[in-house]
Amino acid sequence: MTDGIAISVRGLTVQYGPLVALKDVDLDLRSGRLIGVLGPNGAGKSSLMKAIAGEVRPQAGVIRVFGETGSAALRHMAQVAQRSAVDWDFPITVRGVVEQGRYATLGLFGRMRAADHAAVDTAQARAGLTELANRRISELSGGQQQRTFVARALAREARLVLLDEPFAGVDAASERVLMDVLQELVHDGVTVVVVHHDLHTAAHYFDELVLVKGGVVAQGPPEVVLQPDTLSRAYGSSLFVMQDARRSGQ
Amino acid sequence: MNPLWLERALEFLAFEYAFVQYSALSAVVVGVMCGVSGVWMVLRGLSLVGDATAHATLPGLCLAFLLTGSSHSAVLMGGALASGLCAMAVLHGLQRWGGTRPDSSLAVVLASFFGLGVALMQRVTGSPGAARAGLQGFLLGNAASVTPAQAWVLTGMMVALIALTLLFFRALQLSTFDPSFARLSGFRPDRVRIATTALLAIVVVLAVRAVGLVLVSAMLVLPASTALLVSRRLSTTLLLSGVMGGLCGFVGAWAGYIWQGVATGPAMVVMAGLIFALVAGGRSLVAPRQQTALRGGL
Amino acid sequence: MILWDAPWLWRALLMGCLVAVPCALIGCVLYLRRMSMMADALSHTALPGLLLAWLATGLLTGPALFAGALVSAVVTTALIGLVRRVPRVRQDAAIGIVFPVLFSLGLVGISTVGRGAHLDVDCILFGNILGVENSSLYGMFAVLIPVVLLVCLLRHPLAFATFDQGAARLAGLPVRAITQGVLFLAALVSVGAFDAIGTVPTLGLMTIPAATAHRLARSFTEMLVAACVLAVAAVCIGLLTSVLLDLTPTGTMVVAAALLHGVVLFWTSRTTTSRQSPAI
Repeated sequence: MTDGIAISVRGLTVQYGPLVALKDVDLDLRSGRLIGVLGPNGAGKSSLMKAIAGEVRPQAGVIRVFGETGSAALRHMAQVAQRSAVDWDFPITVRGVVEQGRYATLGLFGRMRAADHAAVDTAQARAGLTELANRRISELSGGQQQRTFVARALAREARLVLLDEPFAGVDAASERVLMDVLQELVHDGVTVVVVHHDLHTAAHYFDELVLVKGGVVAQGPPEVVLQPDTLSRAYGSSLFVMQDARRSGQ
Repeated sequence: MNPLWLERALEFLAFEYAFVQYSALSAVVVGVMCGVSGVWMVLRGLSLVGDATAHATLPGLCLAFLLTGSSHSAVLMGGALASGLCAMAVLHGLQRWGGTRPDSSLAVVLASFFGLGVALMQRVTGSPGAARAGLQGFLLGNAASVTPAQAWVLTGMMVALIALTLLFFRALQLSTFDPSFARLSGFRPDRVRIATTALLAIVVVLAVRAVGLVLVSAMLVLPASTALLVSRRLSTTLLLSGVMGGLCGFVGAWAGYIWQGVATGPAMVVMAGLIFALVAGGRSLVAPRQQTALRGGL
Repeated sequence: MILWDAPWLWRALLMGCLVAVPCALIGCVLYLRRMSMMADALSHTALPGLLLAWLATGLLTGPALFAGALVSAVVTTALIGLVRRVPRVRQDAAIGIVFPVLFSLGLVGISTVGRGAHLDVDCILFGNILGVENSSLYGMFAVLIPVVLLVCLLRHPLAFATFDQGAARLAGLPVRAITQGVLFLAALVSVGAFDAIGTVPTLGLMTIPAATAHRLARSFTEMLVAACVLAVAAVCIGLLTSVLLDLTPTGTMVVAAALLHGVVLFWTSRTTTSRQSPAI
């Protein structure tokens, strides 16, 4: 284990043609935490995630995940994409998706062994999906769909899980269940980074927040980041965030 | 005294004549290939690209014949493949750099390449040789024109296709479903995508003799779409699609034998459409509850 | 030159122009509505439409044309809409499912019950513009008039309904009826042109000049005019080339349209004025 830094970003610039999404970003994210990434639309949140996940080639900068770069870095992480990016009509069951989490270790031709099946069973159980194992993914509710992909990340036994707007289109009850799973993960030492859109819930979901607009505007615990002056630097107008006390059971 | 069509139908099933055997074999094999590879095409949203590629093989066929004077199968197939791949490249270029709308660029490429082929057909039909009849058959398919050697080559190709699909199933499934995750897992989804696209072009070219280039895309889309209606897993989809494709192929060859004027391609497609309609209709009667996905629950 | 004395050439040119103009006009509307693949569908389903008209009336011209086109448009759009609503069917596959089946039914039909209609496969795929009959000329003229009138006179509401369906609906325009009407006109043009031009060349004349005109024009009206000019030019260039080089005329027409498109693409991308979208 490295010095407790899960993701280390130095000088990251991501550009799409003339459009600069991120400019010269430096960022350190400590491991074992539940981290929320916030910012207005087009601020570069997705670009940051894509750069970390190796989907987008940055124009400049180095990203280290647990001290490693390139394809070695990819081995440590799992990604839960935006719901809109998934092909829900694909003929695959819940179990089929979760099994994909084992493919990295199995490679092209390796057979699934007892240990692999056990990992899949455990992942499904932790995400509360055991009864739904043979359901086709198109027949699931929004929350169930998200949990399927989180279960896949679990089966992969990744040390870092990236989620892009996982609560979009998910009802409040499912959101709570999903948060419980994520908090369990963090409890087990996994680093969870979530691109989030709702400032209200951000206040008490996350251990740490990163506010992004073309670069890192602020980083730290929620009460530090969610201040009017930092928020206006990102969102451009004065915003009011109602800080409820951390009510248990909410 | 049986009606003529029944007589001929039974004649076919007796498999007495060699050409009947080979036409049935080649049609079934081509149907299976279209069924299996069509699944990737439909899942990747390339249904209309397949149509454009198929129509685009015509100028290649004509040029191959006109320039070499040969009607040898390999030469014609090579020309067809070249112009099909060229059309795919032009399509890709138009969308990427030409700033052209996807639906419009599909129609433009399809019509332009086919138009070129149509233009050349005049020269082809004016040329002496049995090749003339051969090229006409490529438009709407003529399973009876397949020689035994070609039928065996097609069978070999089908076996290879099935073997490759089984062998690389995992990579194919993951790369098609979730390329990002595939990359994270150490796979090469871009390579897989290029491979399946190339595979599509190859199957189109192989199928052209039996199904005809005008309708081969329908044989790629229909059995696969039907299979997707009823299967839960990708493996089942591939199996069902292949079986249905083969069945349609058989019926196509059969119908072409019974009614002389009917080409193999249209007969196959009508059968495939019928199966689709039956399955889609049957599904909505049998399982209406599946049509409303469970929402709002945990 | 002997060429100029050939009546069949002049008739072919005339038919070509009669086909080119309505194809170009309807093509512009379809292009802007992102329905170019519907043009593909309708140009093929013209066959079963025509066949049904023949089976019902024994005629291939006159009112049979309109009836056939109507049936073809209605059945095609209805079936595509129906198939799209079947769960788990890919939207892009829906078109590719419906029209080949209808087209194949038509092909099977002409070899069995529709033998008397004398529609042969070559004609269906390649057209027969050099051998066009008077009845086809009259028929196409009868198609051209309503299409030109409707598109030209109604071009502003058409443009409005195309660019901003929501606003048009709020303004009281019957957007759905307009869409259905446009598809009917497309089917009408396909059916009328069928005999002379064949399926895919019809598609070519509907889609290529419109796409080219889009890159040149700065308004909807300009686009309509440009498309007509381009289509007629393609027809003339194509016909003459086909006669000189011994190539199939309907094919050369499409190739000419494609070459014009290529030239315009190249020229407009060089002058780096970004793609101009027509304003209302």
